[in-house]
Amino acid sequence: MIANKTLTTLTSAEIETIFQELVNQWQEETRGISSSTELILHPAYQQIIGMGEDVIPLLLRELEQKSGRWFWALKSITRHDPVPGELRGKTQSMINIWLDWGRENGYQW
Amino acid sequence: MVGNNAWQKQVKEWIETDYPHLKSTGYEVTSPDTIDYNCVAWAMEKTDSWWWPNPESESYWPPNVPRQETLEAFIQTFATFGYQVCENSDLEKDFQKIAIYVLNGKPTHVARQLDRGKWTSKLGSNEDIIHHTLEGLECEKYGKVTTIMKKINHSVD
Repeated sequence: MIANKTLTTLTSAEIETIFQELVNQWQEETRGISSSTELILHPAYQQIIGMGEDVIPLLLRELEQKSGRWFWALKSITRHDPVPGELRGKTQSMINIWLDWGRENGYQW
Repeated sequence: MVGNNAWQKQVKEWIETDYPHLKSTGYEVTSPDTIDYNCVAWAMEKTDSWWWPNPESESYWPPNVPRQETLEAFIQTFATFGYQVCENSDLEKDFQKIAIYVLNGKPTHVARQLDRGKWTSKLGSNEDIIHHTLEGLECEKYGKVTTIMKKINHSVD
């Protein structure tokens, strides 16, 4: 039972399962929402951030597939922001910069 | 209408669930979903950026306008693009109009008027639609339209 395990005892497959469930929940419950604040404060989004470094490659994959705006989650987990101020909000540029950052830091997805 | 039948059915289902007035007031889906832009950007006719005044700064917001989720900050933003608050949403020749939806004092959505008086909206990171009335999108999620703004030089849609 995944529910009875702590994050540190989960297998990669179990982490991915939980992650995907949270992504699906977030997408379902934030349909039509434009407020970035509301999107990132959603409980499922916050739980994804709480999963920590294990989900960095999963977030990069989701970003590549453009399933959601995962910039804040990546920034929170990595404590790093490679996007220069003048590109804030420019979605495709932000995606490209984060994917480059992932490759440069050895992540695979 | 865009997309195949299964996609259309799925999209219509969620849209008519979340925006129950649309079915009776009329609408059509005009684009697939994308995270590239949101309603505010779409109202300003931008399709490459996500506009929102969140203080975390992961979205675009015009410089020199407060990053505050207030109606005043939205009005100030649109004023930098030539919009002024006006009295009604009636179609006026040579004017472009936008409508701001507000829920519990906070802006939630912006729609832009088209040439023939219908409205276009980007639904968050989901689809673009044309809706025949502003009331069609009034709902628990967006609240109600409280402010209409207009500018000269109606663009060609």
